[in-house]
Amino acid sequence: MVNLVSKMKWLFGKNSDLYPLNMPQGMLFWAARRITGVVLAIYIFAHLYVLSTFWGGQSAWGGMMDLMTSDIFVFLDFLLLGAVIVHVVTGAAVIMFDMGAGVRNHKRVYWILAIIGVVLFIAAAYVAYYLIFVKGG
Amino acid sequence: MVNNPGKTKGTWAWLLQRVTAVLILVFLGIHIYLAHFANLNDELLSWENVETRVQALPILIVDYGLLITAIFHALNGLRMVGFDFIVDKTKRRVVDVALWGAGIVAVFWGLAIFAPFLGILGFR
Repeated sequence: MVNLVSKMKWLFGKNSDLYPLNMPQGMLFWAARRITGVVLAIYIFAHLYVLSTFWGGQSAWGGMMDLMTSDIFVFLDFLLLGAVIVHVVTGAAVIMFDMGAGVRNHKRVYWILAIIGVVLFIAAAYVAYYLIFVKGG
Repeated sequence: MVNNPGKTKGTWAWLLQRVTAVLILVFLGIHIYLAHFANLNDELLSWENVETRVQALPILIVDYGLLITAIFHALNGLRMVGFDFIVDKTKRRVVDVALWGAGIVAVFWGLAIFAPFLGILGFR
């Protein structure tokens, strides 16, 4: 067993690419921020389009709300929540490093921010789930 | 910098991207709270409730603030992504003009969205 562990050091050891502090988190954060950024930019215009149904009066708005509360759009809202949180967390890293905070420990900062993001998503998604499916029936 | 010898270095774009990021965090928090959490026993997105909310000046300021900061942040972000692929000075100028145009149109579009509740632009 010990022999096996030492044999696998090239893969999981401190000098390997898969060691938690050696992963390409900066690149992953960068890519995640770009992808979510483009998605959220598109979302703003979709949001304006949806709200434009105000111009059609009360019935148009009601019809749009029926569509927006359908399963597929509620599911997309959860994806939106995830995209926002990813963008906020990765953006926090950018602002921190711009200000010189945590630069020397950036690999750890990335992990902490990622964990904060996951916790935020689970908490927020649970609250949304509760309000929509439990309380809202 | 490529094709941009010392004239503009993008300092304002860089700084405003960070400033709007923080502002969006504040505005978006208030926006989400008011639209989905403020009074849970009510149908918060019903026509009447939207009308009441929008007619309160502080809420209108938050929503319009979010509109302007979010559109700036989004289009400036797209500019950053785009400029990673577009290096030519003239093409960059075209992108800038297009994004400013899109941004101004989007802001006016957004400002006009609450017109039925505010009784402006020929509504009521």
